[in-house]
Amino acid sequence: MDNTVLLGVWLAVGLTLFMYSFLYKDNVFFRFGEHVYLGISIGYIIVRVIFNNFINDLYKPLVEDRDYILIIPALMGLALYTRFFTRIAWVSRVIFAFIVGFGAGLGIPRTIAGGIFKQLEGVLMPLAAIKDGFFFNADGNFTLVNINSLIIIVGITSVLVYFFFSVEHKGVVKSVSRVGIYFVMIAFGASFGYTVMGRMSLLIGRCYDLIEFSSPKYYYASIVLLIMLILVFIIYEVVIKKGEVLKTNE
Amino acid sequence: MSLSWQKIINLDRRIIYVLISLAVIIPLMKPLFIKVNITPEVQAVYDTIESLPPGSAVFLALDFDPAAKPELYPMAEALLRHAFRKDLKVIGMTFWVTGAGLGEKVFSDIAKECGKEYGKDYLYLGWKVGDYALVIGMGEEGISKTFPKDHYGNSTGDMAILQNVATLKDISYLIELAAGDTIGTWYYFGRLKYNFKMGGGCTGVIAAGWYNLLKIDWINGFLGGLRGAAEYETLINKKGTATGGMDAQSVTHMLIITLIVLSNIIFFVTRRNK
Repeated sequence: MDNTVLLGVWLAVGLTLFMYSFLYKDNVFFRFGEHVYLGISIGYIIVRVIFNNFINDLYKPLVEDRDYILIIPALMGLALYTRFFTRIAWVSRVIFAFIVGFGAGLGIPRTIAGGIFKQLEGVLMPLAAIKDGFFFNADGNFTLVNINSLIIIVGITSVLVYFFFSVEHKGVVKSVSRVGIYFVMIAFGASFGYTVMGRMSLLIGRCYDLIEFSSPKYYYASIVLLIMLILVFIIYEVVIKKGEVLKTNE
Repeated sequence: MSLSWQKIINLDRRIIYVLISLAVIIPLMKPLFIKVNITPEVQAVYDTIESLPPGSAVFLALDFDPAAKPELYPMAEALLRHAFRKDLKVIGMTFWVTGAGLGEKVFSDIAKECGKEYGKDYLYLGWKVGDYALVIGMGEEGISKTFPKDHYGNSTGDMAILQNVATLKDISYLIELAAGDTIGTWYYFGRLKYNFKMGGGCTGVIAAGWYNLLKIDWINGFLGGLRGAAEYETLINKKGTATGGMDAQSVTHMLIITLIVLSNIIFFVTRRNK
């Protein structure tokens, strides 16, 4: 096996175990892993931005293809940095205004058409489309699709009432808003359930690698490093801490 | 009696961590082969790819980073395998700079496995700054004009795959694998204007919100979290890491449910005793 692959495997296992060591308690290995992760992520992003943006999208077309129109966006980009110089900081605001105007102009109509209107359509259309009977489709088969639509309508209405604070929540409003709370709770529960699944998937992903890298092919990387980490913790807890306690007592 | 209840309530959280670790590791080492049922939203994505004639273009947006790899990477593998088996042309890119390397790996690995040729059968554009401007650019100006160079720095203009797939209008199906909210960008600036079919896959954390997108027809189906990936692996009949992980997932879920029920029972018992 290539030595660089082996080195990568041992580094990956070591850093994974460093990060999981936080479950025992906050420690120097965890903090080391955390800082390495941050450093590598930022370093990777910087390299990618320089290679993809500055070299591929600006430098090469400008120098090799003589695409001089690119000077305009390049200058606009550089002008954003004028905010660090108080006297000419106003230049950056002009560019920001351009970015905000462009973004809002593109985004707002599409968000209204594709987001708000589509959401309303999704809620209202299924009920409007009922032709053949509430519980039966065009083929005469039993269906619960319309029940779903009804639940969605009740849910949306009651949640909106719950978040409507201009009227005191009494009588009918109170009852409807209470139904709204239940819908909100169910939504949070569903979301949390999926979150648990997502977090467990991450753990499973790391465990997959740890199990794979514990094989003889990788010189038992996971087992060796896990034992070493546990030994370090034991030495710290038993020997060093005990020594510190003895010193304090003296 | 109440003392033992109290002991359980004050249980060291690290014992729960150990239990969870065992619940993950043991099923991974000794699989239980729990059956994976196919949900309609995953079936819809499969059926759409299955219905495309050979040579159709599929766009795979890999908008995730290594943090979402355990969930979304198996989806990318399964979808690519399916698309290549069907002789579809696949173009990929990512909005996430930290995901550029993962995209490259999944494309090159699966293409090699399926014997596909770069530039003819598939193309990986990689990452580029621009967000929605890229989608508009690919729709209006063309894919090769928006991405004159691919991930490796090759010129895209003369690639065979782009001769029949000049813009996003020529895409038959776009699949968005998302760990964030990039699906809005693809919908608002892509599907809404160019009217291609869209499906997707997402991490478990955001999956609950995606059912709404099904309802309002943003997407025709999606793969939610590791389970979605496992379902797709079952559909294409190629078991991978997602299917293997589902045993561990099921056991940990059972453990968590047991702990929730147990802690609630203890809570009510101790409250009544007080």
